[in-house]
Amino acid sequence: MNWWMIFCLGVTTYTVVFFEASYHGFRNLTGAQVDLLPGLVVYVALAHGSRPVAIFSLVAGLLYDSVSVNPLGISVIPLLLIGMGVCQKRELILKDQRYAQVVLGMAASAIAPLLCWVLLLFAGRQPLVGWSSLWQWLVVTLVGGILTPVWFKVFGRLQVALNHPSMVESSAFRSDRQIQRGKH
Amino acid sequence: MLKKPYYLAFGLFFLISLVLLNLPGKASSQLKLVISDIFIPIFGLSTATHQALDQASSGVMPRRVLLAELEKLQKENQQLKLELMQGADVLRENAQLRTTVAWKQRSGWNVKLARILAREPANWWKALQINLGSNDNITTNTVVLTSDGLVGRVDQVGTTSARVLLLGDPNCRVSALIEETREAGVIAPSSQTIPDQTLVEMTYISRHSQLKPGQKVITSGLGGLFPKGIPIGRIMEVQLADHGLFHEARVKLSANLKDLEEVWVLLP
Repeated sequence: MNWWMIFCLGVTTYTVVFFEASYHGFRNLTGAQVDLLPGLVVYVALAHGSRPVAIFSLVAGLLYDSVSVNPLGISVIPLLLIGMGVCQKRELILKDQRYAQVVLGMAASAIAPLLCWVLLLFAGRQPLVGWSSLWQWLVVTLVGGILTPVWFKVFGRLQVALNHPSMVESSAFRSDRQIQRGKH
Repeated sequence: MLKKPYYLAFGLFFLISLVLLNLPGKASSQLKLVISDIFIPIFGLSTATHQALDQASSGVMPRRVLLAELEKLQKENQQLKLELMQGADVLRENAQLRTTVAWKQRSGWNVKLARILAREPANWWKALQINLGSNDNITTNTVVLTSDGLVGRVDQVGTTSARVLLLGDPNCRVSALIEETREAGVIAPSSQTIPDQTLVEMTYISRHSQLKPGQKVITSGLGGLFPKGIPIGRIMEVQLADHGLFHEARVKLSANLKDLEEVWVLLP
């Protein structure tokens, strides 16, 4: 992971939190605000490993909590647990398959609010939870899952653009080094 | 396979988040304000873009529409002038009567317009951020309203921004009164099945009260936080609470909390 990728990931996290705090069109339409951070942590876990996941979870969680009523630091733990869980099995996951990306994104988007809710209850807070929360949870899970492959696509392209091109391995055959046999 | 860096990264950052969660309330909110200040430039840019787009759209508005708007506003202005004259007379009379019976004079409201910067991203709170802070004399528990009715109260104050808890948030409960019957109750979050920001519940209303849909709900002034008489909404339906001790009413809020762009802040 080079510095450009770290910068791009930081800018994306900042923009995602800003988008979630300032764009209400989707909330007005469906009654639920989407959370794109669990999908992003799945990408970081599969593409970059445990240390970037830990840093990303801390930065994203703190940024999210700073614009929310949530106690500071509460969103860090769900992101960290999800990211580390994915990291643990990253060798076994077919990360290039879109199906796997969607399923993991959906699972992460479903688990993150549940963990956050449990932590809020442990912290003695009373979050607004009712039957309508079930609908919100469903929307967040579906949208989070559908949007996860987008991160893989966007960052995959960025990685190609910002990294040195990999050397194309040539075969052993080179026409200019072949001994041309003559008649004699 | 798990390796040492995995455990180190996980343990260290888990510890950091636990420390952050256990920070004292004041330190935590100060840190939160410092981090949220990172968003001020982009919120400012977003507001400026909105304003520029609004100006651009009004610049290309047809003359016919503008004239119709002008005519409507002139009529409204005339009507408001008449109401003001009438109101001024009533106020004068009220002041004389208060002097006669030696009651304390009611002070007028000192309000300031604020723009909405951001909304709560989590689905389990109802809050928003405004562009006024301690630099503008905003303090915790300052009342926020629109011309339609009550919006909520200020919960956290930064130097240039503040967070407002909206009606229906679990941390924003308001003592309310039904204007017609003078029955008191408390405005609490709605437990309805469809997520709707325009509905709240009024609970702890006497079970002997005669409630009807359409009755107006206003602030009671009890508790001293919200001044008396600010419209909250209208009753939609009434039911007896599960154990039959009191009534619960579903209230449609007067202020449209979904599409707020600007609010008035009641300065102390």
